[in-house]
Amino acid sequence: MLNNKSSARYRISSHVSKGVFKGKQAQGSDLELRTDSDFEYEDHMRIEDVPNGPFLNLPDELHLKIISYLDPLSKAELKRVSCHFRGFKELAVIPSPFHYFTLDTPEQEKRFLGILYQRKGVPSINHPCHNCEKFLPPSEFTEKASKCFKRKLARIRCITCALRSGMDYSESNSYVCSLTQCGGGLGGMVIKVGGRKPGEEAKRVYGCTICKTAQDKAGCRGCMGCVNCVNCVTLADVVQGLDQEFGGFFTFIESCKRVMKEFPRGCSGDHVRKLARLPCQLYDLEVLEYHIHGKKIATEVVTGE
Amino acid sequence: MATDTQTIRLTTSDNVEMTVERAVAERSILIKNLLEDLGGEQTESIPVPNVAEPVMKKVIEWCEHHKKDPPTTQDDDSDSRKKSTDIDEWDQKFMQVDQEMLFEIILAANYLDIKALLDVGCKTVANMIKGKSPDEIRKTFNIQNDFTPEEEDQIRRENEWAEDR
Repeated sequence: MLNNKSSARYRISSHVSKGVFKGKQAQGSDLELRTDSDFEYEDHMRIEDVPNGPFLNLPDELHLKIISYLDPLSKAELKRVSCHFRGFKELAVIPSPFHYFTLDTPEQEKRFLGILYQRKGVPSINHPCHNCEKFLPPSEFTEKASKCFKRKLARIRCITCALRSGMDYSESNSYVCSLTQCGGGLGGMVIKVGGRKPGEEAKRVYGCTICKTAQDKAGCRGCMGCVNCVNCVTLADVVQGLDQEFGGFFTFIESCKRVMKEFPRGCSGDHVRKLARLPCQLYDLEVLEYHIHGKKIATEVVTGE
Repeated sequence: MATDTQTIRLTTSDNVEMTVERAVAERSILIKNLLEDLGGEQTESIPVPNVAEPVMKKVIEWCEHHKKDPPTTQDDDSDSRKKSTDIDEWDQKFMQVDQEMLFEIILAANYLDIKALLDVGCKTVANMIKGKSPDEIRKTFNIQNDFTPEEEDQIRRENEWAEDR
């Protein structure tokens, strides 16, 4: 290996190239040229010189036999130990422990949580969402879910995942403040988070039932679900409604610039932009255009009394 | 047919001669096949060049304790491998040795073809790995982390699930 210097490509020794000079070498006149094979040899020696325990001296067939007794998580951890084990195809990479842990009993859930927190290695107040497999702050979970973590129950989803999979909130669930449906079909959940401890302020999380996401303030973001809403409740509908139900309960919602039959809590849309100003008095409507994400969806001019 | 009380002699790698009951020695498939091939009464010492005396003593101790166990079939072997790492209490105590001896026993069991002992050894090591993080495994078995920074990055990406969001 070292005898191939004549054909090998030369490069400057690393301690010179990094600007670490000693004695005469600092003058720059005594650059040390060494072959690639020298470096390879040194690298090899550096690794070989480091003493490894007897475990690595076992033949691969015995390593494989030992691996056959490991659970998937231990296999994944062993794969991260050294290059030797990384070479075993039997130590398949698993995306996360969430994929294989069965959580049929509280003991299994407790063990799962224990392993998760242990793997993280650092104390964390964040909780794992069993659905999206992310470690999220407590504000991303309902009070009830946070309580579950204290009881070492692991099959807990964050609010967003729960909404996406059709969270079943009943009125008996004290952690849901309200569930409202707006006149146009855009629904929203208002979920209370926090506020259990003295002095702690409760935070409201708004859940859109169309895009199934939790938002920190009322209004759907990015789901375009408001299109449905606006299509249903056009100004013509409003005028018709006003005609039919004169003195009815119509309200102009400032946040989403819409006229609704009922006050839709948590379902206003920031993406709805109306170019024309709409007076707040119901019978003085002057609407010109509605735009959503730059797309014009309605153009009407209605002049009230 | 050889009787249970018949003894044979084994010579270890460090030239120590040990006298063992044939039934005990025949827990090793290697020795059993050798004795069958030689036939008759074996008077000469059988060389066991890959096993030193201290290790051989441990192996014989295990074989003596398990000499009445039914021989394992291929089916038993595949069944027992099905992820169960339960170890008999006596075997657990037997395996409470330093790591060097543990791996020597495993190597000896592999060489002598004593499947049950090999299984116990491998299960013991597997139990030592279970529930440990890579760092803990490295510390336990004195393994150096020889990953390059690029490989470390790749590993980190594979374990992104453990990151806070």
